[in-house]
Amino acid sequence: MKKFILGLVFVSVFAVVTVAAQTLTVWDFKYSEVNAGGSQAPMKANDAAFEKANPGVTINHVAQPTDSTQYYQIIQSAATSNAGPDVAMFHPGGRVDGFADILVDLDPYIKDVKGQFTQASIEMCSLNEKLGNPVKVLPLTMQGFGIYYNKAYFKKAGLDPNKAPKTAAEFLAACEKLKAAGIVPITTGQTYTIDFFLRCEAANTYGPNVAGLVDGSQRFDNPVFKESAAFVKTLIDKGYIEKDGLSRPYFMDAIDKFASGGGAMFVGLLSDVGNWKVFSDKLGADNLGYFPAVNFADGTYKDQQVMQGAGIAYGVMKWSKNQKLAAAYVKFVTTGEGAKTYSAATGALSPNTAAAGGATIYPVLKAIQGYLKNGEKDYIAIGYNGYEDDSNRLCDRAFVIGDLSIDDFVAAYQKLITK
Amino acid sequence: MKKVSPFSPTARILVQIVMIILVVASLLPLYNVISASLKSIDEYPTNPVLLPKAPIFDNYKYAAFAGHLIRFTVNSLIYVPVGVALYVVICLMAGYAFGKMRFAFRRSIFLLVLFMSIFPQLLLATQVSKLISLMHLTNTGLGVILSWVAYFSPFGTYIMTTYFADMPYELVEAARIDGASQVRILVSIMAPLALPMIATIAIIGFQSMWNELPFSMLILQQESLRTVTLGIAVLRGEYGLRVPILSAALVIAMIVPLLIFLLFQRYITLGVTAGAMKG
Amino acid sequence: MHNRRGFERDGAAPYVFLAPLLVLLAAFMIYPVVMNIITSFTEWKGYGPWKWIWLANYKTMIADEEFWTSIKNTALMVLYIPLSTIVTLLITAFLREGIRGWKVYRAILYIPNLLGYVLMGVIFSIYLRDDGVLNMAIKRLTGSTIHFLITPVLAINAVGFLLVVFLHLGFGLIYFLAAMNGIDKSIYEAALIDGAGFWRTLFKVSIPSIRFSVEFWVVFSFIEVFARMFSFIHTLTQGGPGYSTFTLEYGIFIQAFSKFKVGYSSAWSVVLFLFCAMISIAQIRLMKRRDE
Repeated sequence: MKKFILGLVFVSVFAVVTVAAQTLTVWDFKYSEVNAGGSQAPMKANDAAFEKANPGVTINHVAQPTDSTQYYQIIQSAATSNAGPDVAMFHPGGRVDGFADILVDLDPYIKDVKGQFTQASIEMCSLNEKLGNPVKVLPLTMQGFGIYYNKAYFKKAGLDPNKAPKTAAEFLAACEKLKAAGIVPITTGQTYTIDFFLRCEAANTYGPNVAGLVDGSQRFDNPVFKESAAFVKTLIDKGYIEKDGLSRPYFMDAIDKFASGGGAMFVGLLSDVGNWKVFSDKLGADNLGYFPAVNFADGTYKDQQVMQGAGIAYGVMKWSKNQKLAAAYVKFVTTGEGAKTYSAATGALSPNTAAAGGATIYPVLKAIQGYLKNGEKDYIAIGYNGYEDDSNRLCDRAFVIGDLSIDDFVAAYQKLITK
Repeated sequence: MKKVSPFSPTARILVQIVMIILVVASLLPLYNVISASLKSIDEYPTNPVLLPKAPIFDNYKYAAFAGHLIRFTVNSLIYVPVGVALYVVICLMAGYAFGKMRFAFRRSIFLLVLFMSIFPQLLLATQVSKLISLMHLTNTGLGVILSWVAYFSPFGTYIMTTYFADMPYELVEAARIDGASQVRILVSIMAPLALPMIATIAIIGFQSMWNELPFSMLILQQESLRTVTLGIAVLRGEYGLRVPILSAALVIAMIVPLLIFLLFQRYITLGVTAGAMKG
Repeated sequence: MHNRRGFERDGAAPYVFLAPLLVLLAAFMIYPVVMNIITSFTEWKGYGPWKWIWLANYKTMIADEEFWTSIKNTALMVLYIPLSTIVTLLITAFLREGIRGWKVYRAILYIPNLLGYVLMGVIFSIYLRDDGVLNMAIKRLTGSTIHFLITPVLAINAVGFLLVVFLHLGFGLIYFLAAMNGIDKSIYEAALIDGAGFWRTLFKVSIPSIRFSVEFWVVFSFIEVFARMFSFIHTLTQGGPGYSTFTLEYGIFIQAFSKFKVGYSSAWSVVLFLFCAMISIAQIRLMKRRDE
C-alpha cells in the first residue's frame, strides 16, 4: 500500500511535467486500410483505449506506404538518421533480422504475456527465428495460405461441393469440369497466386523440415516439389489458371474478383486481407470451402498447412525515449482486448491463444483451425532480406514468361535460397 | 497574308487521322480511370471497362477525406510554389552568371553543374535523407523544398545559361557603360527579357516538384505532411486500395495540374498562339 | 557560352550570384555522390557501421546476371530516343502548319506530361491490364488479348515507348513549336517560293534552324532515361515481369531498399555515374561546337 501511495504521488508530481508531453509515434503499413473490414478502424479503437488507460499519452499513428519496399526504405531512412517512430510494424523473419540493430529486445517487458503466444509465433519473432534468442517484435497476426473454393460453382459443374479436391488427380479433374461448365477454375493474381501455391506445396513436401531449405539439408530439387512446380505449369498450360489473371494485381484485384464470384478456386490468405472472413462474408459462410494444399501421390506428408507463426508484428525502436511505454503499447495491442478487437474487425488470426476464439459462425474457420494442427513453416519468410522479391521474379520467369524449364527453375530456385 | 497549306487535301485528312489517333490514345487511359472511379467496389470486378451502370461518388468522398487527398493537395500547394520561387531565383542568378559574366573557372563550374543535372535521385536518396535529418528538417516542408530546389536547379540553370548565352552581349555592355550594377542589370534588363524562359523553367520546376517521389517519401514521414504525389504512391501498394478508390484518388490528384494548365496555358505554350501560315 | 578571352573579369559579383546554387549542390549532390563512391567499397546496410570490402562489390556485380540485364534494359530505353525525337519533330511540323484544331491537339497531348510519372504509371498499370480498356478494344477488334504487362518484350517496349516517346510528346511539341516560331518567317517564305513541300521544309528549314533545340531535346531525353524513370517503372511494372523492365536505376533501388545492400547498390550507382559522365562529355562536345 505504501508503495502504491508513493507511486501515486510520484505519478501525480510527474504527470504535469512528463506525462503531458508523452506522444508515442507508431508507424504502420496497415493503417491506410480505411475500408470496411480494414485495419484502421480497430487500430483507432485500440489507440483510444490505450490513451484512456494511460492518461496524458497521445498515440500518433502514422499510415506508411503499404508497399513493403517503400515502407522499409523509410525505416532504413529513419535508421540512417537514428531517429523516427517509437513503435513500428514489421514483417517477422528476414526483415526483422535485417533491422535487429535498431529494435529493442522485448524480453524484459513481456515476461507476463510471452506464454500466451504460440511457440511458433515467438520463434518467428525472435532473432534469426530461433527460440531462446531475444524477442524482437510481438505478433499481431499469424499468416498462412491455402485454397478456398466456391461451393456453388462446384455444384454447378457437377462436383461434390463438400469434398475438397485434395489430390492432384482430383484437382485436375475438378478444374476440367469447372472449365467445361464455363467457370474460371482458378482466379488468379500476379504473381502471388503461383507464389502462394508453391509455398503451400513446400509445406506439404517437406513437412516439419522446411527450415532445412535455408541451411541446405533440404533441397528444392526434391522430386515432390518439382512435381508441384510442374503441376503449376500444367494448370497454366491447360488454361485452368486464367492467363488474363496474370496481369491483374493479386492485391486487391484478384481477391475482389474471387470475392465477387469471379472463379471457383483461389489461393488465398488466412489473415490480414483476402482471408476466410472476407470471402465468407461475400460469398456466404456456408458456400466457402477450404483445403491447405494439393497432395501428390509421392509425397510423404499430406494436408500440411503452410504457416507463418507471425504475419505482422510490432517492435520498439532503440532510439525511442519512451521504450517502456512503447513496449506497453505493443503489448496492449497484441494481447487481451486489443488483439481481440483487431481480429474481430479484420478476420486476422491472432497467435495469442488468450485472445483467440469467437467467430464460430464461420464453418470455414473451423476447417482452417483443424488444419492449423499440421502447421508447417513458410520458407519465404525465413529467407534472406529481399528473398521474396527474387523468388517472385524467378516464378515470373518460369511460369508467366516461360523462359525457364521446370528443371531450370528448380535448380535456380535452389541456388537462390542458399545465396 | 495568303493562306497556303503545303498539304494536299488527302494529306490533310491523313494528318487529321494521325492526330485524332494520338488524341484518343492520350484520353483513353484517362477514360479508364474516370469510369472506374464512378463504380462501386462490387461492380468493378465484373465490369472493369464499360461505363458504370449507376455512377456513384462514394469513392471520391472516400479518397478525398479518408484517403486525405484534399489535405495532400493543400500540402503540395504550399510546398511547390515556395520551391518554384526559390528555384527560379537561383536558376536566374546562376544562369545569368554563367551566361553573361566573366570569372575564373566559369566553364569548369558550369560543367560541374551540368554534370549534376543528370544525377538520379536514387543515388542520392539515402545521404540526402541523412543530411536533412542532421539539419533537423525531417518532417518539415522546408526540408523537402530544399532537397527539391537543390536537385532540380542544375537543369533550370542549364536552360537559363543557354538562353542568356544566346542574348546579344551588347545589351550588357550598354547597361554597364551606363554604370548599372550587376544586380540591376539582372533585375531590370535581363530578367524581363528572359521572361518567356523564366516561365518555361518555372513550369518545368513546378511539374518536377509536383511529381517528385523519392525525396519526399524519405523526408515527409508524417502522414499529415505528405504531398499529393506521395499520397498516391502510398495509396497504391501491396495491400493497397481497390481500383475504384485509387482511380478516384487519381482523378482528384489530376485537378490541380489541369487547372494550372488551363490558367497558365499561354505561358506553358511559350506564347505560341498562331500557326506559321496564319502569321 | 561566350568565349572569355579578351574580357576583364566581373569581380566578386558572379560568385555571389552562384553562391546559393553551389552551396545547395555541395550539400545535396556532391557530398552524397562522394559518400556513394566511398560506400561502394564497403558492406553496409544503409545505417550503422560499415565494413571495408574494397572491390568485392564490383566483383559480385560483374558476375551478377541481374546487373547485365539491367544494363541491357537501360540500353533498350535509349534506343527510343531517336524515335521520340523524330516523332515529336514531325508532329510539331504538322501543328506548325496550323492544321485545324492544332491548339486543342497541343493541349490534349500535353496532359500525360502534365500529370507526371507517378500518376501516369498508376494509370497505365490499370489501363494496360488484360482486363483494361485497351485490351477490351483490342479484343473487340481482333478477338484476342495482348498481354502487355506479362510478356517481356512487350513490357519493356511499352515502358520505353510510353516513357520516352509518349509522356514527353506534349512537352516536345510546345518546346519545338516555340523554337520554330523563332525562325525568321522570311526563310519559310523563301522556301515556299522555291516550291518546297512539307518534307523539304521540315528537313531543310525547320530542323536545321532549331538544331540546338533538337540537341537539347536529346540530352533531356537521356537524362529522363537514366535518372528520372524510376517512379514510372516503380508504379507501372516494378521491374517485372521477371527482370524484363529491371533497369540500372531500378536495380539500385532494389539492392538498396529491398535487400538493404547499400554498399553493393553503391557499386551499381558508380556504374550509373559513369554513364552520366559519358552523357555529360557528349553534351560538352556539343556545346563546344556551338560556341565555335
